[in-house]
Amino acid sequence: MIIQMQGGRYPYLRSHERQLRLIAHVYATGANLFEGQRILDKYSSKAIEPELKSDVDADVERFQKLVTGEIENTQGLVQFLEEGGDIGMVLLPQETTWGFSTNLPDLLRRKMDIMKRHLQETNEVMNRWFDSAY
Amino acid sequence: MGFRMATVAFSFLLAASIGIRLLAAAGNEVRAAGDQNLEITGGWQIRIPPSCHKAVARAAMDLQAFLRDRHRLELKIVEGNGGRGIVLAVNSQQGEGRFSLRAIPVKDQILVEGPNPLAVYQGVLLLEDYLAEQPSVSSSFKRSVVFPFKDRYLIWNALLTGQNKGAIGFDLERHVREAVRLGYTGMECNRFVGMTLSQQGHPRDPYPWYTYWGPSMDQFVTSPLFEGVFPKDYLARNLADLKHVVQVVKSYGLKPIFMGYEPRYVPETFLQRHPDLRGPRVDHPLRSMTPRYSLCTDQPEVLGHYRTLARQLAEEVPDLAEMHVIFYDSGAGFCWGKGLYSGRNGPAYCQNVPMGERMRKFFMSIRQGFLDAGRDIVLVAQPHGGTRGEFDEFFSSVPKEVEFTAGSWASWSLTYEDPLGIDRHVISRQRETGRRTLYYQEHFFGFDVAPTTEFPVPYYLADRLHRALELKLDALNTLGGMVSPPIKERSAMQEVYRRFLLDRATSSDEIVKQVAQDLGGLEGGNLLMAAWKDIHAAIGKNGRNIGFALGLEYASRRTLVRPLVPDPSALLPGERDWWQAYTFGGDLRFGHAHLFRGEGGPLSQDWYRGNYEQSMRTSEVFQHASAALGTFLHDHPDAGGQVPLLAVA
Repeated sequence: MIIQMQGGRYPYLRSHERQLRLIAHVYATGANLFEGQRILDKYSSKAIEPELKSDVDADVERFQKLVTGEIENTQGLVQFLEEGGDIGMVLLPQETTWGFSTNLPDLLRRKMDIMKRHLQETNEVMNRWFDSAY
Repeated sequence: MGFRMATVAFSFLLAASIGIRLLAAAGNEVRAAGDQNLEITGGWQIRIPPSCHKAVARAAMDLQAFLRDRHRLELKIVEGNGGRGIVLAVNSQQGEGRFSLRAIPVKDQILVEGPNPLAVYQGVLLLEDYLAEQPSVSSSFKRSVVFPFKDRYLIWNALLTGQNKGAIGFDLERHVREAVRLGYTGMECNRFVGMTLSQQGHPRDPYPWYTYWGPSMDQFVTSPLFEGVFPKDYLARNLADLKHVVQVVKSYGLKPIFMGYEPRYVPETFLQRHPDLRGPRVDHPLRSMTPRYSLCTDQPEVLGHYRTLARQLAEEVPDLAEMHVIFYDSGAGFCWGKGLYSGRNGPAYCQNVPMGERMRKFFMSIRQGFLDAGRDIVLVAQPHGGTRGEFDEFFSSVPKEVEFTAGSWASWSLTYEDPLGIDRHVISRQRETGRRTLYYQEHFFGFDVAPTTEFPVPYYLADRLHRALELKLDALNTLGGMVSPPIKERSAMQEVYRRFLLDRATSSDEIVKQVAQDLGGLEGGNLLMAAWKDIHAAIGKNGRNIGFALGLEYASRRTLVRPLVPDPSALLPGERDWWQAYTFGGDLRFGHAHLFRGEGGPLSQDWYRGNYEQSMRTSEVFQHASAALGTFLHDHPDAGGQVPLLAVA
């Protein structure tokens, strides 16, 4: 148990600055996931239109940029969680469907590792139907 | 790595700042020219009535600790009201919901008076605000408070009994004290102990997670019909916890409330032994791996079962003041109900039983069970779904001894505009039938916000509270719950609620301004207001939609930790199982490989673009607000201090 004294006349300001920062990270993740999945959906159907061929290079670049951006956002979130202070989120003794636990930074690192590992597949995945013999 | 908890007591710093603002805002405080100060000194005492209620004793100890920590004054607590001191008095002549603070200079006294122990405690906590800067008041000091709404309940309290129960750092007594401070009169107490679901079945079946909140009576007590259905030690553990929470809540002067989903689904093994008692399918067919059924309440044996459960509960926990029964949603429902997710269904033989008659028999069985135990526990039906026709049948058929809460999907969310037409209709039926007018709204936390501890939309909240005031309600329930120290030392949203109760004639803008300045000072408060106005505008542009990314969704769908990869379906088990195991519906068709595909099927490109735009807008406004506060704190190092809650080990 760490007991820390704190100074300052308005401690809520410090706490709230962090609360806002957490929410900014969460929404940034949301934005990246929405846009990333939008791109993936274009190339995940067998009924893919040949016209999309003209989009694919730009979409590959866009997707890779989104993944890179989400890795940066996640790194920022890990740093935020580990620098001490109000994290603006309830943590549970163990993970459940409704909440995270103290291993959240580890989970975020794992997520980043997987994203980095698979990023190079983007070009292949998005071109697979155009390259298919079917 | 790991975290260690750091407990931080900075309430007094906050109280100091808030006290100044409350003094300025105290509309009925009298300050005449030439007033003398009535100063509290070490020779004063805190005076309480002989053999007083625990809540008054707690209030006295709270005040004693406050004066010691804040002003280094050591006041003894004594019985009797003579002599110098702060006198805490219960005066039943005062109207309900009213309390007063008054200086009596000729006696060297400050009198805190209320009609019941809870009101006295709430008066003491307001007095602490006034005394935050200095241990004195003016000799003409007088403040009288009449709270709006006769009752204010915390129902579906995520941090105490709901999806975030057992949170790291949670402190039951501080949570209940915070409820007192905020102005509540009652709170839900029932939860099941532990984090393992009793009816999980398939370990990856998400549906039992809906039973994480609002546990039913059969999770605490049993009946001859249900003997052995749930393990005795499981029931005993839950019941012991319920008794403990009820005693703590009661000791603060609040009404202990049981909020359960009834009739909720029961184990399939029981129904196989009693096939004639099988009621309707009550799960959500697209969210459940297996059909789940509640009992048929048209069977006399089932009505007897519920009557026995109610009697047992009332005998075991006689201090329960009210029971609120949610009769649809989260695995609950009546035969042939229109609010069932699978559509109207049930056994053929009861298809033509009128719904009003069905509800009358069911609720009156529970009520009779209370009466069998010699307890007149107030029984309230609460709809989460259903139709206007069914509600009308309730009001036409069920005696007024069973009450009914208004509220709908719009009031579940923090930002949607409420009340809806159906809410006004229900409130009018409550009045017509001689019932209390009860209404629920989400105010701070739960549903679309938790596990985030604060989502600052104070202007929406203040407007929502003012709209509720116009409804002239008897009771306003906070659905979703609240946060409390040490998990969150202060929430501006909760301060808005408290200030509204204290000064309801004040406009929304002024309430938010005062809260901002309480919490941030003049300059910092202006920054807070600017931030909240920008957030308000962004959420408004988003159609008042707080969004998929926040709250339950980022936890329950694991969107925060789920990797964004080109081919999610090709992830190896080692890359997927660690997040999918906790993903709501992870093994169902819409939760596995695809991030967003839900029950509505494939999503359009425009749907994604709209959500991306909304998420970006919201992220940017929060990032900008955070950066502005960060710059301010950097430039004013004396302003913010450090507020460590979790620190890396």
